[in-house]
Amino acid sequence: MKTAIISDIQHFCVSDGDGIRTTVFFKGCNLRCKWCHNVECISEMPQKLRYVIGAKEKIVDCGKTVTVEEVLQELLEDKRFYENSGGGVTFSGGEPLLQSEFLAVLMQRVKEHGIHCIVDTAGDVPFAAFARVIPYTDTFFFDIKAANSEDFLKYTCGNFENVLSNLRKLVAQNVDVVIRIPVIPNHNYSKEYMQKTCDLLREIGVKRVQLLPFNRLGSAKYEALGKLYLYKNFETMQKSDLTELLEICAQYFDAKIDG
Amino acid sequence: MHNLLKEIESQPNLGCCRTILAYHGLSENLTAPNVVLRANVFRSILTECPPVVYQNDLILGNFAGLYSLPIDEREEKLANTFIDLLGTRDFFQHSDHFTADYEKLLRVGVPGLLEEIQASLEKYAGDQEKTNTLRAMEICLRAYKELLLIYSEKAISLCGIPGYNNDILRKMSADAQTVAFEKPTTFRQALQLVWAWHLSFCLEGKFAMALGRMDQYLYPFYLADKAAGRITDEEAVALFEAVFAKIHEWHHFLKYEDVANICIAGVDENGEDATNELSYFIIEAVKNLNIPGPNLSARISAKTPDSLLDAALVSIGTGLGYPALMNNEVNVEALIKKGYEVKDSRNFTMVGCVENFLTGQQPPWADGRYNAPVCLDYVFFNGYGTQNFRHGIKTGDCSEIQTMDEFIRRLEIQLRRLADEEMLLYQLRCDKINPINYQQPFLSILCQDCIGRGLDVNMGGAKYPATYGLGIMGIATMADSLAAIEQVVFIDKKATLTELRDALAADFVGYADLQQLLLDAPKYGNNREIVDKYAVWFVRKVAEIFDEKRTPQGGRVFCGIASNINNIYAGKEVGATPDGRKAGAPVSDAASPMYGKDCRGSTATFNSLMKPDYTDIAVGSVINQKYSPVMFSDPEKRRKLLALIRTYFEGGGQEVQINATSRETLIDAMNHPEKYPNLIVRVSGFSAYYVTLNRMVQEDILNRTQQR
Repeated sequence: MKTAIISDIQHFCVSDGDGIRTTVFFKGCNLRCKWCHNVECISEMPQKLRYVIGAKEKIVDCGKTVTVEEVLQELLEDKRFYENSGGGVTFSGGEPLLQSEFLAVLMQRVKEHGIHCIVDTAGDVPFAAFARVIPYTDTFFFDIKAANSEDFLKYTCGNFENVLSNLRKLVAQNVDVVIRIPVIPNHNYSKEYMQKTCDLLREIGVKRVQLLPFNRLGSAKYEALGKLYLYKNFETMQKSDLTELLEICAQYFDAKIDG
Repeated sequence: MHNLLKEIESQPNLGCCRTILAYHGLSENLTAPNVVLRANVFRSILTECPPVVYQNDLILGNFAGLYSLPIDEREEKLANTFIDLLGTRDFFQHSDHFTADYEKLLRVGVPGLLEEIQASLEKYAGDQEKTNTLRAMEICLRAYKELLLIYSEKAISLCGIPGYNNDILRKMSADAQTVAFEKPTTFRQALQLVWAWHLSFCLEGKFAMALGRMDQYLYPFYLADKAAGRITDEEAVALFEAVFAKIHEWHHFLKYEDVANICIAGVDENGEDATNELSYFIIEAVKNLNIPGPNLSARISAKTPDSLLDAALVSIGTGLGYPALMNNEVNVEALIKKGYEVKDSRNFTMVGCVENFLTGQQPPWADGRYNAPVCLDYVFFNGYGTQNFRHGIKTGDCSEIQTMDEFIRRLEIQLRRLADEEMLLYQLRCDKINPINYQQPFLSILCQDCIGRGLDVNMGGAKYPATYGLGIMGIATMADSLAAIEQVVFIDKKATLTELRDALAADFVGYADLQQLLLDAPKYGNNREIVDKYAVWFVRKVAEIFDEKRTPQGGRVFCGIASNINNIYAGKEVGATPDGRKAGAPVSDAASPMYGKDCRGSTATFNSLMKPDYTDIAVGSVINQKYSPVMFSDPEKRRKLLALIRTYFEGGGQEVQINATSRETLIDAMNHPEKYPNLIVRVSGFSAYYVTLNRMVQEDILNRTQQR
């Protein structure tokens, strides 16, 4: 693949891994989580977001086709900032591994410059996609959105067994993996559920876990796309809301709250 | 609120009696030479102003007394006739904005300075002018000594009065008395001397007198006290608080701030890290007080420890915005390039907002405004300023211009002429006064080498002659305009220069499409070479133009890319510009990108800002940046901010003033989204422009930014 479709490249990201990072948001996702906060990254087609600001409408084009060289040059702009902060580049989305051929070529080029790379994935792709990028990936941010297939299917349209199988393979290959758990009201926001999730993760053998408090900041993007957002009326969680859940995780893992 | 601040804010204000006190001094010896008249005026203000001692104070001296006397309007009118005619230098004539040589004050004390003046008087016994100047210095110094003694006596007289702490009164009184006669030996005594000196400037009516490198000149006294077990760190912080709180008197009595610059950290004369315990204490004291008066600046060197920068960021994050962060290396290099000795350059301080100053070695600062963007008007309209009615040079009709190079060539002609015009303005202001009748004997005492030479600070007494600074307006307006011309006219050929001129003349009315093309052209602050190269050119060019100029005293002329709020007034004089800006709208602020036009994140902004060579900018520059409060409160995120600043400074950035986006800002953005197009909200794997969010979500974010 010579090109990819992305929604945006954001500089000076401070919550997508260590240090100062630039995050590439790939467009296109196969999970469609009901709470998704990057709804503009679900479709792999270009879209228009129509925001109403005061009395005016602001139209933002989302989705551009980019070449490896273009993205590479933009990522290299901040090299000095990565080096001084212990940061690097994060590939997120959407699901970046749906465009894994492009990603592998891009990451190979990025690694030539010694830049730290994180791939932020929900994990429901063929393992071949992982295999392509493993040689260039320093850390995978790997989402675990449920503790079993049944719950996973309630909120997403993915294959949980495939997710787990990929995770087991990564762990078996000694790849650095950070589990990211979005904490969602009425779903996994309870001590019991967190315990179940932790049990599963212990069995798989992961070492690092991060909890991401639910936010509804994406609701404006749903409106701008003319879509319905089911989580519109749930309040954004604070880090302090997750203290007890963190304690559970911290018993077994190197755990923290991010976001 | 700090108790001392509360006490200051409860003081009565009967109006300022300075003029009346000044007249008393003037009438003491009506036939004295002008410089002695001035010294007598200084003495009567200092010694007749009633001393007031605050119950919560730790260091004596304040100017509440100046506002405590009932004023007879007839007496004031009479006094004013004389004092007005006596006159003072104004800001453009090198009057205030000065850092005294406090290191010397503490090293030799009052007796040392008196001896030095005596020695000089003997040396120049046959020279009437020098004798007059030195006599005037002596009168001022004795008045300062008298001020210390008056306060010492007042403090003792208050012992036993309810509300006062007798131990503290006795200690303050003894210290003030000691330093009137001897060199200081303790931290308290040293601070008392310096504060009384600053207060004397304030009583005299001077403004923006810097306190300079307090962490450096006070450090030996702190170390001595520590070794002797005479002081705890908490006491040292409390003493700083007492001094800084009194800077708040300006706010209370005058309703504006004494922009008293305090400079911490940086390097010593050998170029080694100069950060010490006091650097941290000063940040702590300023943070605790949370008032805008003490204008704290930190000189950040590559050798400055991360812990100091981190302490600075914590203070900034309280919403205070202090300290401003200065790149030590770039500023020192800028001064060395201007011909100052290396060790003197390494000892620089700031006066006023950011202006670099050779501590105690040059006359007070003066600067003017260089409104560069009007030169765009001059090029488009053949030497005519559409808004300011001034004239440039007739460089011809703009339809003759076929290339970008030709445009730049004509622009440079206009820039040079405008520089000459600004220098003439300054020259005329200086020529208006006869220096011998506008001497500043008290200020001269702590400016090297006025005593030794027997000369006033503005008459050859200072080690270095007066410099003049130009606040260069609109770097981003210039760069954006030139890039828009290149992009729209010469690359895309979507309009001719003549069409562009007509659109500018019409202030874009009827040219909405062309204005949009211009607005869409690349803008400074996004790390785009097509526009950044013009910022680089502009900085190099203005530095080159003014480097050839000299002040009437023979001093260098510095450029500063700083505007305070002058970019608003400057903008009123500038017609519509090719960056799409409407006539009369503000030009870009200081050295920052045009407001709202840098939209690729902080790293892209800083990547642009690092490109111009700021070692050519000897005044200094100002970059305003805002971050959400969580960037300061979360230690992990603060480390990222720290790395951002380090990288920016390594890359040649000169200065950055950081603010935490306050709750007030977020609320204002909810109600006036058009003012905040670039306010960004960031969470993991997500970020959005705040103003695109709906109200409910904005409230969520507001809840996350509870300030402590």
